[in-house]
Amino acid sequence: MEFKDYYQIMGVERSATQDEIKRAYRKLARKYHPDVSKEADAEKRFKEVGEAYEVLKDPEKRAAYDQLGANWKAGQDFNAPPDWDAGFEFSGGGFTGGGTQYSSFNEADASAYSDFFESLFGQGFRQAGGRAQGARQGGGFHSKGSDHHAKILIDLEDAMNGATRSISLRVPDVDASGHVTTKERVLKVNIPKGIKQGQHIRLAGQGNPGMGQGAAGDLYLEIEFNPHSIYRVEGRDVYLDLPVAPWEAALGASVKAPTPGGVVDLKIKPGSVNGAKMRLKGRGIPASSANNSPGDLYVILQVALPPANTAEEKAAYEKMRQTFNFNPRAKLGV
Amino acid sequence: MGKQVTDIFSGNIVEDETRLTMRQLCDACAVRAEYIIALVDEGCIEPSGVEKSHWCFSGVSIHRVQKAKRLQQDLGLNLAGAALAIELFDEIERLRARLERM
Repeated sequence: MEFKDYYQIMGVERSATQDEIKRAYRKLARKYHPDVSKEADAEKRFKEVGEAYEVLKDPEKRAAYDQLGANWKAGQDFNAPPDWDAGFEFSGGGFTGGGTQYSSFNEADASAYSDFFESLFGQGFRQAGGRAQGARQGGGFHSKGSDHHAKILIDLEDAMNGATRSISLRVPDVDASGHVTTKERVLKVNIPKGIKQGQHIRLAGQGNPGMGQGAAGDLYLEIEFNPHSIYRVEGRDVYLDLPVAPWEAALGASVKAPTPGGVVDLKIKPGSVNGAKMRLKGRGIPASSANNSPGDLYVILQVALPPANTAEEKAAYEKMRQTFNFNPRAKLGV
Repeated sequence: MGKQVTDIFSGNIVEDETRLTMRQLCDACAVRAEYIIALVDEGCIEPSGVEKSHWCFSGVSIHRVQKAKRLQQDLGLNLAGAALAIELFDEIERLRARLERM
């Protein structure tokens, strides 16, 4: 297993005071809290920092950890030396006492601690009757299992038509002897038509198992859209940049335009300007229920300049120059 | 590592739920009614209905309650601080969506 450098994770010197460690933890916890950070690995970092703090904030555990020596490097292959913890007693203060900073993402989830942590402090953890283990063995204790949160990436087309997507979740699994391992669980989930970016699908009872007779937690899947090559999406509205020729914008035209629901004929009004916005009502993402309405498709005209390569094309531009009394920089006062 | 393939699951879109009872909201968030009432008093979630006994909540309330709970437990915020943070997250979300559209 890999050695974990808790001081490096916390960004403090080995000689840091307990106060410095606490401050570093507070700062990092705010930075990597999954509700605060949008980084993909925020939850992992948050747990890592929580684990490091669990050890360093407790003078007994810190002393035991320090005893391993300063020569270990993060990621180095590590096995706990026999009797490495002789003379230290983990009576459990850190776990059963004020260990609240860990609870919401890790409750009943002992596998959140690394193997490294488990090999060093796991025994003490169990003896001290840490939440997860103690509660499982305890007689009359019932509580709802924790919720599981995951992200699921979909395409705009999935929200337009509905779809089925497979997702793979890593869930903690406790075997008969009380060891916690991670199991992969593959779920097929229906993506309801009309779902928006950032919305959540709730699968009741598909989270972590409860304790005693407590119900299982729920599984929340947050919807995120893959970036689309031609559309931008905001809520249920869809935006499309549509290139038009200068004469189509000036004289008006009927042109073909793609929409998420298929190609449509679009009338360009004579005298349209670059950036003009046209709304196609109800052509965005459809409604997901009777309580909301479908989004619109906004087409934004982008006047495209034809290149002047041949002599004839150049002549056409020359003709325009003679015909128009046009100063595109008039607004700049030059 | 064991692999397990299961049936196709269908869930509800949380944000589309409009008529959650106090009991349902408490169950979904694993909190007591007192906590919900405190968040309503803080203006962090808004029920429909005047009488407390007839309060209904939207699905968005589930996230706001869960977030408030996590922020309090994990970062040691008080209720007002958690409510403020959640409002700021909303604002960031709105700005980010606008940025993506541009």
